[in-house]
Amino acid sequence: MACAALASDVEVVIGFQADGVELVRSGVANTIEAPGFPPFRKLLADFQELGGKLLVCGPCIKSRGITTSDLIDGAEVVAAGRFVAEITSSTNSLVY
Amino acid sequence: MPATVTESELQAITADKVVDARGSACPGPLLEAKKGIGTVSVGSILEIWSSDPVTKTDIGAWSAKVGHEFLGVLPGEGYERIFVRRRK
Repeated sequence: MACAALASDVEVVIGFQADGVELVRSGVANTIEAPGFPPFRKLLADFQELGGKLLVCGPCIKSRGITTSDLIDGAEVVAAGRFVAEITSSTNSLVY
Repeated sequence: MPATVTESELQAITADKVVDARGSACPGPLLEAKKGIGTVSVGSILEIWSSDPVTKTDIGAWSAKVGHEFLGVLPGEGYERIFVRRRK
């Protein structure tokens, strides 16, 4: 959905919280493939190439022993205030 | 999104660029269309090949959303040929 939205000239921000932060840990994307979908690494690369933003919860990575240097390039570590600002300023928010 | 030209008219079209997205699953063909449309000039026609049967409706909706013209679809052998004219 995120890549399709970007392809449709919609600005997209993905926020990763709780265990979701593992998805933007370096190397993890290479291990995720779901039947019927492009590999996650391809979707993530397309997302970034199309201009999507990746925000990562700072406290969530800290509690899991993950450092900023463990994350993929382009992932921005933020806190709750930024998430709130992004959500309240967006036209639509989807939660999976 | 309805096609804007007839099948016989589509048969006569030679696209300015062909993107082969066969074997790619959603949203792959759409992303290939997005990349491909940027490589042709305004007024030119992009042809997308896809073996995913939902691509034609996806490309039709995408064309309407972003302002391109969805020309229509022709059957290929095990895939579909989807035609879009760049409008902006």
